[in-house]
Amino acid sequence: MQEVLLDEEKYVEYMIDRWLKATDLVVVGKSVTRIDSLEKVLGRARYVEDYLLAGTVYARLIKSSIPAGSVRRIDASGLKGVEGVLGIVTADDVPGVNQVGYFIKDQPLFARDEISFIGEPLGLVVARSLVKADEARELVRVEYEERRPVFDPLEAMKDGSPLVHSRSGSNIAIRTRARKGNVEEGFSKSDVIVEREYRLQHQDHAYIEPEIALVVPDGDSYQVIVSGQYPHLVQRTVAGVLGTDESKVEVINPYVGGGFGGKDDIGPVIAAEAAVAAYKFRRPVLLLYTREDSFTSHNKRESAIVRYRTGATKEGKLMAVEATIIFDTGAYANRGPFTLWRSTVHATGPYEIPNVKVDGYLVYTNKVYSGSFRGFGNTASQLAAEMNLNILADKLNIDPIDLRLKNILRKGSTTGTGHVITEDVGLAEALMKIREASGWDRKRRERQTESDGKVRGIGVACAWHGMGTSRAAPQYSAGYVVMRKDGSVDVYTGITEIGQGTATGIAQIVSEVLGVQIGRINVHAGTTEAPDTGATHSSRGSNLGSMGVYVAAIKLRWRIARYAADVLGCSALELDFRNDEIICTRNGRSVSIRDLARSALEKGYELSATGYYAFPRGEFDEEKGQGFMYVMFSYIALITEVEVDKETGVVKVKKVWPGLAAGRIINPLLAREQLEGAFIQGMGFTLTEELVINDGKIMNPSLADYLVPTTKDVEDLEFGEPVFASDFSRYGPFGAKGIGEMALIPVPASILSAIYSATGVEINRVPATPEVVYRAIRGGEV
Amino acid sequence: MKYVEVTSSQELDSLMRELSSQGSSYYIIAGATDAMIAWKRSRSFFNSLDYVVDVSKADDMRSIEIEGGILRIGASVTIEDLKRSELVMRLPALKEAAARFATWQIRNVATVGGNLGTASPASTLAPALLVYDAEVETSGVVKRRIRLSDFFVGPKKNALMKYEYIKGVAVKIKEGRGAYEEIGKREGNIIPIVNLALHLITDDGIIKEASLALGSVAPTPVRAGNAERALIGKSVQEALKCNGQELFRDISPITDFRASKEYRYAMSLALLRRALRRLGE
Repeated sequence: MQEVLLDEEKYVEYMIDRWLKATDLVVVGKSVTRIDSLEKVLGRARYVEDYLLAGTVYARLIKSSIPAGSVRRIDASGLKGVEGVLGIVTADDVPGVNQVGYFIKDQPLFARDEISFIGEPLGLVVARSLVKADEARELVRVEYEERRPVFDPLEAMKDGSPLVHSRSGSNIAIRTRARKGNVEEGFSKSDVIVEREYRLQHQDHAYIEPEIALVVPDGDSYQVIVSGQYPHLVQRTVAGVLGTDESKVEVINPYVGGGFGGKDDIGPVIAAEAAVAAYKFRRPVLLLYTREDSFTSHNKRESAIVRYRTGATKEGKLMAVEATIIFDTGAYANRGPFTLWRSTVHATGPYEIPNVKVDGYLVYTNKVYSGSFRGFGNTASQLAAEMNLNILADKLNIDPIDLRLKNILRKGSTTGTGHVITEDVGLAEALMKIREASGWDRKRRERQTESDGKVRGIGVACAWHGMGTSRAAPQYSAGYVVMRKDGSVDVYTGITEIGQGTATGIAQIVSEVLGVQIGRINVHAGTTEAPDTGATHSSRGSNLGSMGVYVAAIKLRWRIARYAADVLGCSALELDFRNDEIICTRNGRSVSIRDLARSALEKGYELSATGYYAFPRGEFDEEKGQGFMYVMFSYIALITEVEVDKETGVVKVKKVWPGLAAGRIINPLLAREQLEGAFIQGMGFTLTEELVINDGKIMNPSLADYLVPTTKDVEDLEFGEPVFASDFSRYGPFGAKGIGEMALIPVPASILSAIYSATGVEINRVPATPEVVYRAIRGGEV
Repeated sequence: MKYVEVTSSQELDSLMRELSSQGSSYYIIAGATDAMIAWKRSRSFFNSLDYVVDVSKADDMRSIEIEGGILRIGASVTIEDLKRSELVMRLPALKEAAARFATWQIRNVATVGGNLGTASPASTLAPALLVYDAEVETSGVVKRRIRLSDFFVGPKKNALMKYEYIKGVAVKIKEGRGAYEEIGKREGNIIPIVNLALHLITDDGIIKEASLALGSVAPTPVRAGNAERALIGKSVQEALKCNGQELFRDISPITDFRASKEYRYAMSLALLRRALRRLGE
């Protein structure tokens, strides 16, 4: 014990352990009101537009109207003498590197020599007003050299197909694999084999706030205010494009009107686009994408083809899974190498299966590129895994939940890549709890009655999702916490508040650690004032993302505790920090944090701390398709009840029961809101949202024709009280894991399996629009 | 481009005569919900116009009145006003269509004249007005009454001459019951895949008179004369057994990104059945 007091690092380890499964927490685990609710309700919360300053000029995109080719000439002569127009920016104006590819360096900031999709940014027009910029954009003429495009990923994979990137030898950007056992043997021992092909369409994030960035030049420095998800990546990207140091670029990521992964990818890109204009014209530049620009030019959820084969014994023991996953990544690989890998290694679903063979292909086509979107590739393979299980359950005459429970991952299970799960797995508990809450067994037994052509059905799906990133992407976090002289606290983190509520979660964590009330903690989220915290993506905000701040706060607690122990005549390990006070649990003496902070500062004690933290990493052998997956996993089970109108094919979700195994829940209300929001977004993906692309052109680039659910679609939807299983992770603050993506992943399979139970009809594509469902019910005929 | 606001139809008449004598180009707006979309698509189109004429404050075009069994709805009446009007209760299919129209925010500014003038084949109001034999009352350089079924001449094309405008619509009050139905990929605020209005007059359970109109299944919103004739003389229960044979002669849907033509045929019949079921209750 003594060494814990002498060594800050050891104290940090000690407290992380002590708090992992603690049951006496004061703030963490409570439904604390969001710290941003009042300022948002009052309209005081600042978004990028609220940072506008005098002298700002406005930029709009110049976009390609062809899917493949190159720019022969951008003719801006029509702008000459037009009042209020400053000019244009193109690839020729980029002072640094004209390259924003994420992993594979295949993506120019502004295309010139190789155009790869309709809507690709070729440059910007800049004017003194937004109206002028819009008018100016119509006056710019682009002359092209056209090449033969390819749109269908299966065509693109064939030899002799036109190449999307002339310098790459193939349209297959990357291959992935997962291997375990021997699938031939597994299938030969199976009594029933189900083999299906699933197709999933693109999804647009359709965030309420389209892409926006403001770049303010100041001497040779730049201040960037951007709607993004990772300020430090914005900093790196802008510095690279401008050819300057990262320290010359300050990034503020204020409140964001929805990110969902999209702004993780596009945030750095729009900031860099605006930065080139700010560099050229030496003026503050505000770049806004219109809704149409957002549709045509920002990354989407990949479209996918998944061929999936599952084998089981007649007792319901899963013996083998074989899958081929083809992701259409469009014009650029972007995050595709990671979405595809994630989809590949999770492809078994959250089940222990002895024989596994999964192959993934990331394929270029001349369409808008794909990338990050809540669920991150895992949506595709989980849909296939779960729908196959439901069909298998039917053929084996085993209840779909029983079939899952027979094979479900538990602590100590080995995944499809040979990774051993070392932490608690709460999935079985969650699944059994929602089985009961939903009245599953009774509802499955009852015969479906049909009235006016409407039938009801209930379905289930599970999913799992590794938290954070893996393999090449570094797994670190950082944060900075400083106590002011009056005992109030400022917290600096690169984690962004994109609506999910992580800033509130961080305030709760710091409040719990330091005993300072939430109202006296000021969270500065999304800022490069903090050390590089990593991105707000891959459901990591509340776990790894918050670990930097957690560690920093514990260090600060140690520094305060050592002084408080002297003042109170107590051991530093006998102190209780709560309600702005520090109390000695042995002698009952106490001191207010306000008083203590003042005197500590005056005596030269250090009242700030940075925290750095990294996940342990393991090796993954790409060739063998075996090895380490993730440090921690979250799990979910979801039961959905639907009503299908057989006359029209319209599906209405009536009731939902979510069961979550995501570690300690920092804030149950925020967790519920994540579950609700993700369900509705997943429901849109499953039923209504269809991006129609003809010959590379998006036919419905507006919210009038790309149909996200509205309040009308959910006013009768009953959302069951979420069930939280008690599993904990050593690698998140207080044992927390993540929810954000998790909550969307099982939605398609849960809804489609409910349709299957209602109608007996398998639907193997998403979105299952009324027409798709109607055709399926009629056996493909209308 | 010059913005002009008029406060009455008389003022608008004289403006039209003036513009006509100058040969000026113009664009009439009220709620501007369609104009905004056009403006976003092409600034240069709007900038090249001589005038944008705002009729939203033309007082004599903003009322709903009834006289001698004829309901007159001014062109500048908003959809929300239409939805809330007690008088429109007498035209139940129109009332329902107004209630299903877009969103509250759009209904507060979008107008009857604008919805008809745009002449979209997917107009929410058009089928409901067609079943009540609506006539468009025009003014400007000519004053005419045009049957609504003649007013729509093609996709986004109406029968108005240059410098002629929609002053209002006149609708016959009918006995009987009416219903409006639509289908899209989601519950509300859609451009319908198919929409339909049906009005029935029954006597002792037998359909004596049937008016049926559909949208999104032809180049213009259409009355379904063959289907109407087939309904007459049947009970609603008998009518529910129809296989769509007559209805399908009245429509000519196409495949586009919203739906296939096959699905539109099928949904035309499904919506007819749905409306019949409701009116037969």
